[in-house]
Amino acid sequence: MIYRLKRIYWQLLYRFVVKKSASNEHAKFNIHNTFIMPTKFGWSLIGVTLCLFVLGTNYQNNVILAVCYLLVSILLLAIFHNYFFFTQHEIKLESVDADFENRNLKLRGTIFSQGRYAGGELGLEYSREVFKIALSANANSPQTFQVKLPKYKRGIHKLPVIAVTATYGFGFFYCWSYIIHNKSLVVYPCIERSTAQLHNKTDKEMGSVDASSQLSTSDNLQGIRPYVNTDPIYHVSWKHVAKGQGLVTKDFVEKAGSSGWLKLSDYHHLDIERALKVICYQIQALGKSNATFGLDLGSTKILPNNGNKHLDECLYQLACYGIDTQDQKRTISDPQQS
Amino acid sequence: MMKLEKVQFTTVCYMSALTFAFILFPLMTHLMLWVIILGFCSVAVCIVRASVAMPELRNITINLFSTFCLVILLLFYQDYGLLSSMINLLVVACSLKFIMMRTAADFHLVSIVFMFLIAAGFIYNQSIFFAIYYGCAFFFVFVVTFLINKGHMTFSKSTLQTGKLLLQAVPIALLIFLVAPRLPPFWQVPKEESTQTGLSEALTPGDIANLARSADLAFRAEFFSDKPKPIERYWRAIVMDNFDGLTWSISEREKNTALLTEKNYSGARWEYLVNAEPSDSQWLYSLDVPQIAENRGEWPIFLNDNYQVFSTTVSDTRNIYLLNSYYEMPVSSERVDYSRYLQVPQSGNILTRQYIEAMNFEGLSTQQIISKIAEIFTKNPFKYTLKPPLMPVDPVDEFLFIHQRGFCSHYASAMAYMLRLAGVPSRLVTGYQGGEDQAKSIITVRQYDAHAWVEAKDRELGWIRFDPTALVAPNRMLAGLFDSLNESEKELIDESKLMRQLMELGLIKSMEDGFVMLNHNWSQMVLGYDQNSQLEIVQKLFGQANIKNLVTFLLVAFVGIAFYLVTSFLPWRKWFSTKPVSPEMILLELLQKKGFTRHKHETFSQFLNRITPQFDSSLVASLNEFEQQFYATRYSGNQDEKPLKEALNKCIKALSSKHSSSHKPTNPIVE
Repeated sequence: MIYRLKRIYWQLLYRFVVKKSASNEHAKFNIHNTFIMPTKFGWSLIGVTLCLFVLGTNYQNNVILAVCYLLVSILLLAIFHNYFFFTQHEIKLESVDADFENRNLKLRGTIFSQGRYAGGELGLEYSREVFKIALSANANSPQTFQVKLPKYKRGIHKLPVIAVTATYGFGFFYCWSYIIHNKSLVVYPCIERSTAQLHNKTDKEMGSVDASSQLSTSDNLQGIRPYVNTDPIYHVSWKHVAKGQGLVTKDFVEKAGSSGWLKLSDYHHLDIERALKVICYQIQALGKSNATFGLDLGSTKILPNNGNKHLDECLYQLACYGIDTQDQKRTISDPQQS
Repeated sequence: MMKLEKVQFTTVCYMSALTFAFILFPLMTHLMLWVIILGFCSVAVCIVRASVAMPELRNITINLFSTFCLVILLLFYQDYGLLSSMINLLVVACSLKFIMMRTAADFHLVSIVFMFLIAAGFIYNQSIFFAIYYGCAFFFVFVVTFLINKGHMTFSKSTLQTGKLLLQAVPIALLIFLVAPRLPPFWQVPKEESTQTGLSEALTPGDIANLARSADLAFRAEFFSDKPKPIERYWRAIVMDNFDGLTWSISEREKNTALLTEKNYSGARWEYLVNAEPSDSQWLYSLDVPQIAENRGEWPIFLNDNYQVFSTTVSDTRNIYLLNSYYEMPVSSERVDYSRYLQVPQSGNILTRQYIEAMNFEGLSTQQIISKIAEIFTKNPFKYTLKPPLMPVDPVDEFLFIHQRGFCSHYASAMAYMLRLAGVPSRLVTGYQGGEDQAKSIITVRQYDAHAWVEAKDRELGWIRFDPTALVAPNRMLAGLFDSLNESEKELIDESKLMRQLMELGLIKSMEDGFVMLNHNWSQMVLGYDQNSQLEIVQKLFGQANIKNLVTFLLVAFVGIAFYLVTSFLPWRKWFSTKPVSPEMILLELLQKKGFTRHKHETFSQFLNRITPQFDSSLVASLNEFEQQFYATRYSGNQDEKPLKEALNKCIKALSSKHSSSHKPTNPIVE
């Protein structure tokens, strides 16, 4: 019951945050997506102001009362200064390059400032981490920044909701807004060294795989690859198009040529994550030596090819392995600190 | 909690240390010696920690030390009183925190304590000098808090920015100060401990010597007419009628003297305003014969049949009132019973009794009797001194016939006693004599101007003032206390020697005059601002001081604050920018809003060529037309901007059309 309530609470909060967030990579802050509250220091100063009012009244001391009123007006102005300081900034986040799991990823971006306030600090908060970015003394110069992201496990992740914060001036008020990064972060498995086991198409074992492919496709299907202009239209896999995965071409056995294959099933004795790590290493090793190879992950096959694009596609498939293909692009998972 | 960067930490540490030392100085008189040492040691530690890497103290060490400090504070709690003990506690807490400051939160905490200490300082002293001093301390505290998240701003710019932010707050604070309702105290608070409480209601000769050492301000008088000469400045306060042989005091009957009924004032007068510092006495100060013109203080004041001005309430607030003194009028009253002014103790002071009994006053007028009795001071070697010997038994006898040394209260007491023995109703009056001329119309009276004299009753002339001290030390009346003292006695006065020497040289006289005027106005306008002052303002503004007008006054102030905020934060600079606004600048700004920004090195043409592939044909056509017109106008000698403006309008229309919503940069380049 408590778990359900908690879940509902977090869902409602997330919806609210999404509604009120700057919501794209180029975030502009305004009255609709900016929040402001006193900081702990601000609350303390409000307390001090009240105490001074009582002290000044009890001692009938006009000077103490004047100090109290001065603090009130400083607090009042601090709200406006902090708000205008915060909203004079725009933040453009760059998409995060795909990387391997358990590596420190960097979130890069640029802060643009167009306003009267120079200096100050902006904070980026996510996953309970706070990064302070000291801003330039020149109010109108853009400033790049990079901050560490938490370590992620293999998969396709949505970046955490980033809270941009500011406590400009004396630090009495905390102004913040949320940025939701729309692009996903692809995290490949890390590597585990091993010798490559390449299968030729003439292998008996390979033949059996081909047979199974034939069963499923009934057309000597070898695998799929991204569509290029010279491909015949009748080779387009409309099933993939319907699933929203873009134009892909079906490759048939005749076209496969004499290339080697990396097969996940070779490592069935290993834990699946470990097997993916081994394959990941092999893909990189083969890619480095510019070898032509194909990838057979069982449900997904990539025809033998070479080059960086091919390497990226193979690694991407490793990152997606085991994730529902329909939701591959949309899967949201929380980063897991390792 | 986030630690500060090294450079930031060093600057903030230095600034905090300076601020703490700055705040500690004026509080030193109220702090225990070990607390002062602890405070300054922590300042030193803070500076060293900022300069050199030092191991951090363990929490348990600090906790043990703080417990130890707390125990000592509790032990001395009763000697120092509640208020001073609380301030000592705050300083100790702040010092201990100071030793181990690391994070921004630590500096914030210390800043909060600083603000409390500044406010506590104002309990003890509210003069304008201290207000300026603590104002600087207040500014330093805010500089510290600003430095914590200043970014890449330099120290000097941060200080400047802090100053700007604080100055911006001053007008709002002033408005709130003017309109905020003045409430009565919520509860009784511990009073500041003080040994200088003004004039005492009982006088044992020697008592005023303590007061004479204090250079504290008693009151200031601002004259709107001519000022009285120094010898005429007898500021009357307390009338004592009861003498028990040792001490003069006020009898219950005298205390309950009836209020003055209708009186016909006439003749020349002095008009002046008295701004009296808070004291423990209800009696206020006036020159003879006073008439209350206006009361500007918080509590009501009255005038009794003895021509004493008094307040019914003794409080920590100052009394400000306007008086007219008719100096040509006699101090007389309608009363007929003067028997209590002849009261003398049945025993004691035998030598004086015999001396008076031996004299023959038959047929002499009151003034002649006074003169005859006063001969004792002129014919014998009496001396005016602040260091008289102790006279615990029969003080009048000892003073008149043995020591013959004393100050005003000795002379006044002996004279009043002798007059009573001679059958002349007399009483002892205490108050202040003289005062320093400052800033043209102001007389500053300090505690060391406290004085005692005698009033004797004459049937026709009323009460005649007689000052026996003047016979022995005429300089005391003519030039003030300092000129009647020798060098060793001057040391008794609690005033800076350097200041006095500078004053004698006249170097800072004019500066001091300006300062006195400022302080006087500060006392009246700020320290003396109360509910009555508010009502006066309302009355001046709206004609009548009623609830409706008070509420209007409040509302006007709030509207004023709102207006001030609006005017402060509107983009005036942008609106009234002196930059010439050309059509091309407008277009560039519009495109920038859409996310297309021109590189610094790009020409206008290059910029348009770069971005046009992302637009639809209508917008591209408009932009091309604009480009042509731009080059034609700016570089072909065509001065007419009309075609350029028309092209701009087309571009604006194309940009704001339905399709323009799709004009999103695929790869916006922003400088």
